[in-house]
Amino acid sequence: MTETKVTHNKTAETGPTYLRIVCMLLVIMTVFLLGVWGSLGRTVVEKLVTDAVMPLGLICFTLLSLAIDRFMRGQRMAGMQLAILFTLVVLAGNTRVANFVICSLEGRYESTNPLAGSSFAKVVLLGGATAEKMSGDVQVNQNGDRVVMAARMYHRGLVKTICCSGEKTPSVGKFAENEADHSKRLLIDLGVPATAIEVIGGRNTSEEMKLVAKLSVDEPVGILTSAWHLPRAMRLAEAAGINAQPLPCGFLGDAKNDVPMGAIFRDCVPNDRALSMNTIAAREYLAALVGR
Amino acid sequence: MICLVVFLLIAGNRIFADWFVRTLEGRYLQFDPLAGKPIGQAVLLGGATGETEAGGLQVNENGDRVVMAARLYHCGVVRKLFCSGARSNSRNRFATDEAEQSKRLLEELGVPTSAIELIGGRNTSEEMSAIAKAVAGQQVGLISSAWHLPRVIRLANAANIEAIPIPCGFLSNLSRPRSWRSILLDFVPNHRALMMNTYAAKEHLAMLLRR
Repeated sequence: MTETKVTHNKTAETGPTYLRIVCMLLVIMTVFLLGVWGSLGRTVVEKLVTDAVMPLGLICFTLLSLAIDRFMRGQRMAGMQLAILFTLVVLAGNTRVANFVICSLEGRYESTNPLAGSSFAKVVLLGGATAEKMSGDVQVNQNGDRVVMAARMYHRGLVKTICCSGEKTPSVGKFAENEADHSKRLLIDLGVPATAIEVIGGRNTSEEMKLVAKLSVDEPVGILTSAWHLPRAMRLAEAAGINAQPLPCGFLGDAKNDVPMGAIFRDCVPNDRALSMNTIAAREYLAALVGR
Repeated sequence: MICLVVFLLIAGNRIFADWFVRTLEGRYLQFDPLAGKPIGQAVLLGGATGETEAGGLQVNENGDRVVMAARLYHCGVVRKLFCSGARSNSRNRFATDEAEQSKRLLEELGVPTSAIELIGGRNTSEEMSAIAKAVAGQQVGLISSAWHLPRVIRLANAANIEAIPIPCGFLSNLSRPRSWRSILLDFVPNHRALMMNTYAAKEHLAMLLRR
């Protein structure tokens, strides 16, 4: 009987407190959104709300409310841990932060336009830009600009031979064919003749560069890959003794500073794209750290 | 707190993300537009292109839409391509409309200028009105990412467009036997699964709100 009373008292102490915090945060957010509606219009508010109710937005909201709840109950250590976690997730999902991080990789190639540069006898199209479909067809994935840029360079007469790299890793591979074969199929469909395409292997960037080294003896070879991946590809190319020229594509970052106010607000709401950009950059830096 | 951890594990889980995205892509999984009959004309929906700092253009994570449009032309499935997508206002990040960007990219991929026509549309609903006007009752293929296509087709039907779905840019995994290592990796929470779940959640939310 006494135990039941104690439990009821605890519930009365803790349950409503958390709910009050959630309500308080919702009220603050609503007031903020009404202000945005008044100054920037309905569309911006709709986009902000949509981002806020997506998984990452909900995770941040819950972390914040839990952190405040712990602080209000005097559990400072738990509150601090949750606040740190909240800050980390907010930063990882922030587009401005993601732009800064990814631009630290892409920045050096920002002004390079492969279509406005010199021509090459051979350009290596690095793998990792294609996938297979259930219907048996192939497609480009989120790195698809690599394939598109290769085809554009060919049609503009800037490359004679496109060397497609990428080989499946049987233990973790999801595909029936090698990525190099996917790229070849796509390039042919995009009007590049089969005679202008070579297929080389390579299960990762290091292996790909060793194979490229065999292709290019004297003449410079263009390395075509996503701008964020290029610093690593160029480092490995130099290590393999290749006379490599960087050909960036598929930029993720937005280095512009004159971003409209609505976009700045939206950038601050944690989102999946920013998290992806930060993860991609973190992987590249990790690879550089371990010399891969 | 436990609920939060469970939510995080689900939101970042690739197996769940595959299932969730398939609620949208499922109906198009076996469909290969390049193996079908010629359809004459198709619309390439915006949202697949961007501008670079060097003044160039590029395709973004939805770039398979542009690739599919060019392949359909080169394979003789379509003879005419309509490009949609306009900037929402002057405060947009881009200097040109997405339709113009798509057109330039298609031209650089070998599609002749005479086979491309620009139409407007600041969002999917507006694009449908522009398509209805452009095709004037004729049958038209709608090229978009497979996860976005159910919504596109619903809006096209509402605008009385005789639309043929042309899916591309599938996100879900192939359902063929895989190694246990590959399956195990899917359980590690990752950004791609979170992205897939977010895309699917946005599409379902839009359908719920009839947008």
